[in-house]
This record gives sequence, C-alpha cells and structure tokens, in this order.
Amino acid sequence: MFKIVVCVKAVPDPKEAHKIKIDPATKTLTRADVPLVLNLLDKNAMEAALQLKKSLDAHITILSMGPPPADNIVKECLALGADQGFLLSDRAFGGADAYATAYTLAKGIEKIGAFDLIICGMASSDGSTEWVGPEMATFLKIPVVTRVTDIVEFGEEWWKVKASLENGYRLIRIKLPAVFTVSRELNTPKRLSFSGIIKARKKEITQWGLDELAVPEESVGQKGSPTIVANLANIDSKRKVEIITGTREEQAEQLVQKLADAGVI
Amino acid sequence: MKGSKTMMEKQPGPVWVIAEQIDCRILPVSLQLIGQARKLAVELKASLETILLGDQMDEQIQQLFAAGADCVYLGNAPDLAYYQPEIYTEIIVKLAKEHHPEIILIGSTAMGTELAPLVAARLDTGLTAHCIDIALDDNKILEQKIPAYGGLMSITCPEKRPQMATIAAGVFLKPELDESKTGEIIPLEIPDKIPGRIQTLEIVREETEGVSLESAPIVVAGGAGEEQVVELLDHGRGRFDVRPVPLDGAVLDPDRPYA
Repeated sequence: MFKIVVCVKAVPDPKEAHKIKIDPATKTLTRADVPLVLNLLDKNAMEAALQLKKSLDAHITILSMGPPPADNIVKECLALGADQGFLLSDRAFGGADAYATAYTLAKGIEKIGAFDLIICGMASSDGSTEWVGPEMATFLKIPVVTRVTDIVEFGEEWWKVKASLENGYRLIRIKLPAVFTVSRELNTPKRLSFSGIIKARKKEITQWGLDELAVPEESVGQKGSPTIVANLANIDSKRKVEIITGTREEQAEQLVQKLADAGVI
Repeated sequence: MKGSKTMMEKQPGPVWVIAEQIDCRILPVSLQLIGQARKLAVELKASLETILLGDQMDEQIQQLFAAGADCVYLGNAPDLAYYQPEIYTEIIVKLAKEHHPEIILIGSTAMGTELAPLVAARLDTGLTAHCIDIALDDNKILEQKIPAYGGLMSITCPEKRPQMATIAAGVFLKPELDESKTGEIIPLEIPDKIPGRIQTLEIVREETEGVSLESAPIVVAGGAGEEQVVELLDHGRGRFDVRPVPLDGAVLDPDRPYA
C-alpha cells in the first residue's frame, strides 16, 4: 500500500478577505465573520493524491492544523476521496508561525505512522510564505521539492518531477519518502460529487491536541515560534486619482504625456 | 579607557547574503541585497559576507566585492553548477554554525524560496517571506516589513539567530559598483556526507523576448481594462506580459497576440 499524506489548511475565504482589517488601536487583525475555506492550492495537492491513487494502490490521509471549525475542510477532502482525516487542534497550537506549524504537522505525521509521500499546496492564500513544506521535510529528515508542476515518472523508489523556475523548470530526481509542494499548473482539481459527500459520512476525523502529540508546550504555537509580529500599522497611502476621458487613443496619449511629465518615461 | 564598563557589548556576527547565479551569471537581486545589507552591516559595525555556490565562478566574484561584500565564501565545483538542495543546504548550515551570522538575506527567487526554509529549519531560527523593507530598530533588531491586509506588518525574530528574510528582486536598488574594491575569497569544500536523495538533473530556461518583468525599469499594470494598457504600449515602447491571477479571478489569454 502506497501511503500519501495531504496537508491542508483552512484559510479565511479569499473572496471575503477584504473584510479583514487592521485595528489601529490594538494592532491586531479584526477577522469579522469571514468563513474558513480549504486553501485553493491544497485542492491541487488533493487532486495530485487522487490521480496517484488511480495508478497506485494508495491510501490517502488528510492532516490539518487549525481551530475546531477547520474540521469542515478535512471533511471536504474526505468527500473528495481521501480515506481518513486528522485535525491537530489545541489552544496551545494558536499563533504559530511557519516554523512552529511545520514542527507540529511533522509531529502529527510521525504519530500517524509510515508514509511514502507528503503533498501540500505550495503556499496558503493567507500566509503565502511557502515555508511549511520544506520546514516540515527538514523536521522529518526527508527531501522536498517545492513548486511541483509535473510528476514525470512515479511508482518506484526514485521519482522524476518538474518544478517551476523563473522562465523555465527544474527536472529533479528524488528518492521517496519525500515532500512535494504543488503549484496550480500541476492539475485541475475536480469538484465535490454527491456520492463522495455520502461516502464521507462514514469516514472518521481524529482530533489530536497537545497531550496526544506529546510535545512540550514551548515548542508549539506562539511560544514555539521564532518570529513575532512586532507591529501592525495601516499604510497611509495618499493616492491621487485622476480620471482621463476621451477616446481610447486620446486616453493613451494623455497618459503617456502625464507619465512623461512625471519623469517616469 | 572604558574600564568601568562591567559588561562588554557583544559584537554581532556578520551580515550574510546568499548570492545566486544562473549559467555563471550573478542575479541582479543578489547585488541589490548586498547593497542593502551593506547599510545594515555599517550600522551593526559588522562585516558583510557573501556565499556564492556555482561552477567556474571566478570571474564573477569581483561584482560581489564591487557591490559591497567584504568577503566571499566561494563553492566552485561542477556539482554546484545547478542548485542542488541537499549540498547547498549542507554547505550553508555548516558555515553558519561556524560563523554565527546575525542576519542572512536571500532573494525570493524559486531557489531562494526553497533554500531559505531548508536552512532556517536546520538552524532552528525564524524566517520572513517577501519583505518589502528591512531596517534595524533601536535595539539593533531587524524589522522585516511585509504587506498585510492593506497595512504593513513588522516581523522580528527577537531571540533566535540568524535573523533570516527573503526579498524580491527590485525591492532595493542596485548599489553603485565600486570596481576598485576588493576582498577576501574563502574557498569552500564540498561536504562528503550528503544523503544523496535528491538531484537537479537539468534546468531548462524558456527564453522570453524583450525585457523581463523583474528587470524592467517601469512596470505599468492593468487589470480587467488591459486594452488601454496595450494601447498605451502601442504609443510607447514596451512588452506586454500576461500573468495569471493567483487566486480565482479571471485569467487573461496568454496566447493572444499583443503589440
């Protein structure tokens, strides 16, 4: 059995992210009631696992860290075709930076047991650091390829993948077990099906906290994070708006003139 | 003399820039970061050191000195020609454990974005992505500024060292090059105990015509009304480039011919 772990994240719905504002007094984010949804690139990670399952005798485990409502996105992945789900949830895990998140997820993976491949979306829409995949690989002492765009050869111990690079790609030979973080070019995620939702009802989601992971409180969440938010400020951007009218050609000419007057062209 | 001072102020470690090369050419972002790192090093009264890994890089080193580096750690071997995650990480981690840098800056290129977290996790330190500004605060701690929700977030790594950040090309200007400046070249040995579980076999570059977005002196951006931008370019000179919208917005047709 080929064991795949897909790491997913519940993020504030990007369609409503504009509602999240900085409170200038407390210097914290006001989240309003923005719902949590499955991070878009994690859908590509999920789809990659489902496609591998078609060719390999594979078992797919979903792993997420987040507040209790994040179990909705784990359920969504079960409905998409994953076999089992785990949610790491504990007040102590809150306020984690990428380092502490990667550490906690790695501890979760170790507890789940043997695996062949871990797949993550290359970045989350709210943090967009791209750190969690490679840092998790470091904690698990296995290799990683980030920004995977194509799985060229698979099935044996050594796989070949392509990863995107400025104006091109890297062709990489990698020995499993490994972590892949995937880019949107890899595949087109499928939508939920009704039969999938019905089947998911019978699948279990296991929730683990600090005690189950048996890790010291100082190594997770905010306490385990090397970085802190030292300050949060609104940018006072004094933008000048000027509407240019006329035909397209006139507008373009005026704009060129204005840019020339401003000394930028 | 200052004999009455009971506690010696600890001299901060060096400021490092991990330089990047493609086909033996040093990337502009590496020189831009050296320019900014120079300012930090002066403030900290620390040295500015650069790590350069590649093959047949000898002729390129002068640029790093001209941009402001005091010293260059040079890994020069055929095995280093392409970015190799295991060897690159091993070399940088080993060197950092010996020299205790205060700050490490890396370009947020595809390579930098993968290499930086591999190094940071091994050194058990923090890392900030895509900074748009970096500066030392009153306590000489690096404030790493990133845009967030219409505002600006300052991230710091108050206790762990080094303080690490990735920064995109074009955030800082290329420094004025001082060709008369020289420095020390310290050759690096390739570590022999590499797990050998991953190998970059090939790097394929698809040539783009004209000026790349990263090196363009002026970028005119247009959203849904991109036709006006095209007309603008018809009136001037420039290259039209379509980038997919990263989230789930509309994606323009990249194959459509533009001026």
